[in-house]
Amino acid sequence: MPRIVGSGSRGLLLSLLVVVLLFGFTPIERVLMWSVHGSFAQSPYSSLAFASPSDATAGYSVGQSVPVKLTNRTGHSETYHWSATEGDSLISLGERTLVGGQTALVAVPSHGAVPGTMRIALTGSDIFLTVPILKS
Amino acid sequence: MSVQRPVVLVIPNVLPMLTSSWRWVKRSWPEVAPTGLWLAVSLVLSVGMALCHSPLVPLPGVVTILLIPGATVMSALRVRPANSAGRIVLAVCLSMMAIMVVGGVASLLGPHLGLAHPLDPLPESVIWFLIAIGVLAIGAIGHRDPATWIFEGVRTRNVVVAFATGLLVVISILGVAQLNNSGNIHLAVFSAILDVAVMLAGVVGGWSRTSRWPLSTLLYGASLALLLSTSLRGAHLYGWDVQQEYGNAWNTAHAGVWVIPSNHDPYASMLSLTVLPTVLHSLVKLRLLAFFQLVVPAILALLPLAVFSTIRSVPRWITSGRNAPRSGLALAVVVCLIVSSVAFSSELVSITRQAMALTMLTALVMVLFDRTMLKRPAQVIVMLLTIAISFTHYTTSYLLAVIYLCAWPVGWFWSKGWLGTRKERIERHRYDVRSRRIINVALVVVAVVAAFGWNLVITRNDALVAPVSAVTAKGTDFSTSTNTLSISARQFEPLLIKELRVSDPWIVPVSGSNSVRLHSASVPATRGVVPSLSGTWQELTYLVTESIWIVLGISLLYGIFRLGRRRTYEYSSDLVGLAVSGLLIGGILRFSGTLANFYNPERAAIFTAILLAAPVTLFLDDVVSTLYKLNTPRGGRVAQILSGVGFASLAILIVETSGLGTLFFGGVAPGSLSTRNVNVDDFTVSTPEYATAVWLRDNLNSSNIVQSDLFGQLVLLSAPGSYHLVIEIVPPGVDSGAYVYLSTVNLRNDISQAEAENGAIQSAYRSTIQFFNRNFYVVYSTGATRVYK
Repeated sequence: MPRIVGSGSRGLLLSLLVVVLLFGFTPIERVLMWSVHGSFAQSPYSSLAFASPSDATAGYSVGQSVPVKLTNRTGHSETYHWSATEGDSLISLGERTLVGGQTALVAVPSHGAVPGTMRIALTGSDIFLTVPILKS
Repeated sequence: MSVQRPVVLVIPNVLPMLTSSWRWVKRSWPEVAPTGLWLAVSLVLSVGMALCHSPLVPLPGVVTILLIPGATVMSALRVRPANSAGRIVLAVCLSMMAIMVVGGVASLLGPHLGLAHPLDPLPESVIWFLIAIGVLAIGAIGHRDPATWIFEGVRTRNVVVAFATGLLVVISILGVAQLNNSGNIHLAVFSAILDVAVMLAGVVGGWSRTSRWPLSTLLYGASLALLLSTSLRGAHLYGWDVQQEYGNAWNTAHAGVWVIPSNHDPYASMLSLTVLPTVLHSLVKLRLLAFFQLVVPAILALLPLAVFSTIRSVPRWITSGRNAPRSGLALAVVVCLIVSSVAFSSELVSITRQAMALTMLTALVMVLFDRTMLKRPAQVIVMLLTIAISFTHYTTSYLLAVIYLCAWPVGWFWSKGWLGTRKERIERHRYDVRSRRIINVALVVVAVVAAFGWNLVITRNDALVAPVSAVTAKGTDFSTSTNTLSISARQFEPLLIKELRVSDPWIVPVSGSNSVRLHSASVPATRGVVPSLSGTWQELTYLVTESIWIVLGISLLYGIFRLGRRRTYEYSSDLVGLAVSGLLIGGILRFSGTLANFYNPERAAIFTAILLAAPVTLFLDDVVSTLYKLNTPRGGRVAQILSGVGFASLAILIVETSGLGTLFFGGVAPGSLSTRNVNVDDFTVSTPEYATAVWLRDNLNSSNIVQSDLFGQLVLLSAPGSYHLVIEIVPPGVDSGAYVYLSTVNLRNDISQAEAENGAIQSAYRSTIQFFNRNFYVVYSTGATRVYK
């Protein structure tokens, strides 16, 4: 290594070593972040999407299942309760448990629906999809 | 009939060769032991940190690859700036050049040699292992160790101060982490105050000519802390251009190879946005996001450092009889012209191609003005950096070519004595002090060929098309305002519809969309502690900012017509040429309404500031010296008042650009000091927003149309898809078959933003969510974002 000129260079190298060990090999950054309630972690979210968006907007016939993708990016396991409604009428409901990072395909039944717009939503959230229901 | 060579005959030939090679290695090792040890320690640290799952795993590798290749080039050419700060800046810039060249060559040749993905981790590891061997061999042959070459003479004091300054960076990172996570701005504000205080204290502490304050380290630490507070804001990347830059880097890393873009995209044509991040990603496991959030600010913070290194050494090109300018004054000039510029503090960190190119340009100017270097090696370095800038940022390379084209004749005129300086005086001085003229015809030709060759011939990118068309159609248009005009939604709507009918006549609006009326929305701003003084503060900052142009002009005239005549040892033809062309180009870009649409005037101002920092320092140093020589009581008072006014102006500038002024007097604070305002809405991206952009990219194809407003556009640039993007969601302008993306700001804050006339006019209006709910289906939703079809 290039020589560091001046008094105390030996002590300085020791300090350098301590800093490297502290920041490189200990969880000090987590302690510092925790102390200020700071984080650069990704913000958690969940999502609903149609497996095939173009098919979805073309519509599904009454009785057909509507395939939707449910994604969990909350960082922990989560049980989702979903429901399909048409106006005030409940068409179907169900639940699915996903671990953090998992995506699952859910087939939403449309038995009992009438031609119109069906809304598929996750209970207790603003997450929803809408799909046209056609005559069978 | 083939004859087999007996093995026994080969071994006696190979053995002595191996033995002699081993002896050479053993003999040469001490020559390059520091670099060899550096590489070994870096490798061991990386492996050790990886085993401990440390987030700092890439750090030793990044530091090594950004220093050692450049240090090798410097030692091979025997080029070494006078001070350590300058050496580090130059080493980093040359390293960036080396990485881009190696990655670019590998990408172009690899597929022809059966290597389809040369930028993938394995090929890159092999390539850089061989380069590391080459680095050691070059050092051994030249008897110069690269690491020693740049770090020789580093003092204990420098390292201690570097550690202490690291605290500024740590506090800044913690402040922005706190702001991102909890919305609390206290630590972020404290960090900004600390950075400003350190810089102002440096000016005061370094005022004496004999001061030994470690200003370079303080300047770098404070600048980096300020930049990080912006670059780390939000869950993704902060700013506009950087989103698209990230998209290009992602595409290259994903493909494992860089190819000349067939769509003439200027971003994808730049090795700085494609090859450089990909090589670092493959080689040292640096996440692409970390490249833009951490590495680019660390490189950009070298820019003020390079300017400081240049201007504090400027008169050292003279033989004797004159001191260097006060370090504090040099620091004041850098803080005033560079750190306090809007472009540096908040724009360049999100325009990374220009950030890297301008840092290279500053290193180039430093080499040009450093007379401790020999002429030929300095010319080679300047030439290398000029070429490197051409594949780092198209606009900077075009501007540099134009500046050389202007600087060369101006310098030639000056050296002939045709600008009022007697030729014999210049010649006598040149003979005495081994003076040199770096900018010559060859360099001008290289700059022009590099800029136009890379951008128009090799990559054929279309960066010049729009500005050239605009200038051809409208001229430079000096009478037009360069500011964006905000108008009410009612006034804006008919203007936009008229424009869309011309620009996007294919749009088939939803029936009844014309009946939806827009309502203006007010963008959130910071109220401030003393809002009643907001107007006065704005006028004051405007006055000080614009006064800088006057100081630049006076400094140049003073330099040419006074210093140039009386003290020719202080001025060189290169200095005169660069300063005149810098002011000329800066002035055109600053006042042209047409060009302002393509090249932000603030970004042009920093270009000019880099080229004129030396004349300004020489001028102000003379002014200060004259003031201090006034012996009368009245003169002393005048000196005190003028010094106070100067310091106050500096404080006003840095307080304003750091955002602290807005917090105190009210207005729109920068995103780094605000939980929520228009800057945060405009420039930050949340995780659900990025996830939505990725979903659109992965699920739609070139036949699809996606429409979003200005807020929504930001994240779509980060994960660009093959779909056609239209930045408009005003109901009559929405195509009935389009996908419509609504961002968090659109949905939760009920604000949308649109622009017309190429960004000259903007309007904020209340989101028309009900219109989309009635006429479209929701096909993707995260709660915070939504996609309609």
